[in-house]
This record gives sequence, C-alpha cells and structure tokens, in this order.
Amino acid sequence: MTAIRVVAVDDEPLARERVSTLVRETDGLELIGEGNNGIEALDLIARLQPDLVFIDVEMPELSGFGVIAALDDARVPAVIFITAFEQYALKAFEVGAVDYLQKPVTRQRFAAAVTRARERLARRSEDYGLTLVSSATVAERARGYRTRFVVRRGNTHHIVPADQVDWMDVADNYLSLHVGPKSHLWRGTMKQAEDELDPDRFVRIHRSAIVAVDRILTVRTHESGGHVIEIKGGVHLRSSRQYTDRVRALLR
Amino acid sequence: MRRALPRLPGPAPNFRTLLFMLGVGSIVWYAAAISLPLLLFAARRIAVERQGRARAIVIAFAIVLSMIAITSVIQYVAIYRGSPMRPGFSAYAPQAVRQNVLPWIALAGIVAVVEARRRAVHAALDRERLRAKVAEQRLIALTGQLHPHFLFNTLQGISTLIHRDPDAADEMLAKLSDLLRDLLRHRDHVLVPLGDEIRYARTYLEISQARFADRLQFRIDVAPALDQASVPLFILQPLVENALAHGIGGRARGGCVVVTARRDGERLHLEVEDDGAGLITSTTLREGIGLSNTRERLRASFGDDHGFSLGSGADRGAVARINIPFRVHEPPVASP
Repeated sequence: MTAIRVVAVDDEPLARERVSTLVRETDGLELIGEGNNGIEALDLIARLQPDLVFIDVEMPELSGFGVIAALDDARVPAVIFITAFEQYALKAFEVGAVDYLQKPVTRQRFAAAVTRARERLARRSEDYGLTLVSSATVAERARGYRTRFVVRRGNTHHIVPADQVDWMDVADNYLSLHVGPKSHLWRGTMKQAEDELDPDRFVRIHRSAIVAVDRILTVRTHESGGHVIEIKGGVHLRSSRQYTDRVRALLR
Repeated sequence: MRRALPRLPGPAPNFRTLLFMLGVGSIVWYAAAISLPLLLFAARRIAVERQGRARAIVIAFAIVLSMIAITSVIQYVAIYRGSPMRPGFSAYAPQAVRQNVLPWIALAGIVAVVEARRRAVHAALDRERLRAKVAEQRLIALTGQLHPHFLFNTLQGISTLIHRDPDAADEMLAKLSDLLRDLLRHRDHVLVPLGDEIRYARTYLEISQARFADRLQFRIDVAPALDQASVPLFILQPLVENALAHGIGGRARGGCVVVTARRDGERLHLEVEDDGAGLITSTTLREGIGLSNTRERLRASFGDDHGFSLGSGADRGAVARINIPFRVHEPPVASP
C-alpha cells in the first residue's frame, strides 16, 4: 500500500508542528510539505499534488476556505480542516471536507480523522472536487465581501488585493484584473466577481467590465444612450445602456 | 315614528348667559385646564440645577401671579363687558384676586408634584443608563480580550511543546495562566494602572512569540514612572492583536511590534506600531471590531477629550496612536 501523501498548513508554526508530528507518527501517512499561509498552501498543492491536506481555517490574508475555493476542481485533495472556532468547524462539514479537527488536536481525534480520510480516498466520487470547491466558495463568501483575488502563474500563486484593482474585464475563461499598468488573469466569471465584491466599491458598467468606484474620474453621456467612463491612468471605458442605472446611482 | 325632542323652555341663551349659567367663578378652572399643559411644559423647562433654586422660585412665582392677573381680567371682562353697572377694575380686582389665588396656588402645587415625580423617574433612569453603560464598557473590554483563536492556538502550541520540550510547555502554560488571572482580576474595573496594561500586553506578546516561533519580535518602551497612569482596561491589547494579525500573520519573514507610552505635559500618548503590510493593501481588514470598540470605549471614558488614529508607520507597516488626559490611577474603593 502506498503511503498517503500529506501537506499541513497553519500560519502558526507551533500549532502546525502538533499536526506534523502526529502525521509523522502515523503509519501510512507521509508528510511531504508544510505551509505557513494560504498562498504557500496553494503552491504546495499545485506542485506536490498531495492526497490529503490538513489546513487551518483561520489564517490572515487567505483562509483555509479561500485556499480550497481557489483550487482547480480536477485536482482537489481530501481536506481536513483544523479550527479554533466551533462556528468554522460546522461549516467545514458543510463544505464537504473529510473531517475537521478542533484545537488542541488530540491523538485519538486525529486518528479518527485519518481513518475517515482513508475511506474517502479509497472510494472517491466523481464530483468530489467540484462539490468541495464550490461549497468552499460559498463558505468563503459567507465570511464577507471578497477582498483579494488569488491568481496563478504555473505552479505559483499570489494575491491581488481587491482594493488595488482599477478595473477588470473578460478575457476568455478568465477575468483580467487591471492594476495600474499591469494585469493579472483570475479564474472566475463577471457574475461571480460582481456577486462577491463590495457593491459600494465596485460597479459593473458593462456585460464584460467592472470598475472600482474610487478610480473613476469622469462620466460622460454618450449619444448611444450609454456613458463613457474615464478612470485613473487615462483608460476610457464604454458603459452600455443596460447598466446605465448603476452608473447613474454612482453620480448621485 | 320618530319622537320629537322636547324643546328647551324660554329664549335661546346667548353666550354671556351661557357663561353665567356655567358660573363665572369657574372661569379660573377653564383657564387652568387650558393652561395646564403649558404650565407642565414651563415647569419642565425650569432647570433648578442650572438657574439656581432662588431663580426657579422667582420664575414659578411670577407665572402664578400672572395667571391670577390674567384670570381676573378675563372674569372682569366676561361679567361686566357692555354692562352699565360696571365698577372700575381697581375696585373689582381685590375680590377677583381673592377668588383666584387659592385655585392657582393649588394648581401650581399639583404641577410641582407631577414635575418632581417626573424628575425623580428621569434621574433613576439616568442612573440606570449610566450603570448599564459602565457594565457594557466592561463587557466590551472583556469580550475584546482573549479571542478564542488566540486561546485555542495557544493551547495547541502547549500541546505541541508537551511532547518536544516539557519545560517550554510549562512556561507557556504559566504565561497563559497569568493572562487569565489578569483577566479575572480586572473584570470589575473600568480604569486600571498602565503598568497592569503593559504587563498584560507583554505576556500576550511573549505567548505570541512562542506561537510564531522566531517570526515575531517586539519591544516595549515605557518609562517606569508611567506605571501609575490611569488607562481604560485592556485599551492596548486590541491594538497589539491588530498589529500581530496584520504585521506578522501570514508573513513568512515575520515582523516586529513596538509598544510605547510617553507623557507630554497633561497628555498620555500610547502607540502600537507594526512593520507589516501597512494600511494600503488591506484597509478593509484593519479596522475590525476590536478597533471600533476602542474608539467607543475612549469616548465613554473621556468624551471628546481623546485622540485615536490609525496611520502609516515610519517606513512601512501601521501605527495606532491614542492620546488621553494624564491622570494618576486611584485604586477603586473596596465595596463593603
């Protein structure tokens, strides 16, 4: 039997060490990587493709849910969430995690979670990845408006804070996030971005464009009935008639 | 069949005869009924605390006198208007005043009693409100403390150390106990000496240092002379927690937190600085519940006589600054 390959992630090294030690002490588990934060978790998962991930829910910048939500659903490992908060523990179950562990983690409880993970890995259903990713997205959304985007380049990930984004538009299956002269590709849809961003700070002006409200310099009416919106950096964007109400609301 | 109503005998009364029928002497009561709300309102506006007792009495007296005079005039006019037997007002006045003094004084008495009662209820309400506010302040201070995240991660850390380094586990357990003891000791206080606050912050930072391994450095820069300065309970700790969350959390290379307190004349300045990502990248995160509580609690303790701001650090990171009046802490009187 090949060993289950495990990655452990927690922003607190001392707390993570407890899990790592328990993994090392358990037969049939192999610790292949440890991460300090959500981005490291994503990099490790992309690079090492572990079978099982122990991940702390409550991490600054990118939470455990945020990490799972940013995964490619075809390559989702089994996930065991670790949490200090009961409220997150309950959510962890809803998102289709294998199990959750509360801190401090006991040997017994850890062993039970590993048993569940083994069972899950033995009979893995087709839609497991999709279920986990989409429900993690919902769980993450419940924590508040989106404040960051995780963008991927090869096997490395990084965070684009939402408040740095000037505007965004559709680029094939991605959204192009424009940050000053640079742009980043984010895997997501206009609808998703619109739903998840704070509506006081971002406004959809077109079927395929969203702008940051505080980057808008001028709004001029166009003879077509729409508007032309000028944003910082000299970019001019057309707003279509369908979205005129939202632009009007801005002017008020 | 409808029965016809019986007719009143005699000619239809005009307004004056109607008045007489109802009794001219009752004019004072009509006037009283009409003016009662006004009188109650006036009584409410007389603020004994602000104007002084003597002045309040003079005002009340003036109102009663003028009501007597007004009623007398109305009576005079009502009875003798157009009458050939009209006596001079000065001849009529003593009789009218005699008639009206008693009712108006009685009325003034009633108004005074009603108003006194209203004020008593009001004062009791105010006291209750103040008590509730103090209790709320305490609750806010306490709930802002020892976030479950901190508590359970610390316990997880201790659980790690038990296996690897029992002495270090002991030490961390002792520090957590210190923290809990301070929390219990102070749960009934609103103001505490700065020395206690600093000790709490130091223990909190030492535990955090263990949690984040070598990723956290901190410095506490407070002159011992300021230990007795009076500050709101747990005013520093949410700032320290905030600095940790944004200055250290998630950063692989770690960071540094600096806590300073200094006195500048009659002001006490407190600062918590971190060298983390700063304000620009995570504005939405920076002012969490902890910091709005801080603002609220400063207002409750000092009114507008305080400053609280969150700014950018010297070259990076963020700094939270508080300034409050410098006062020496007086230990609360033990309740019997």
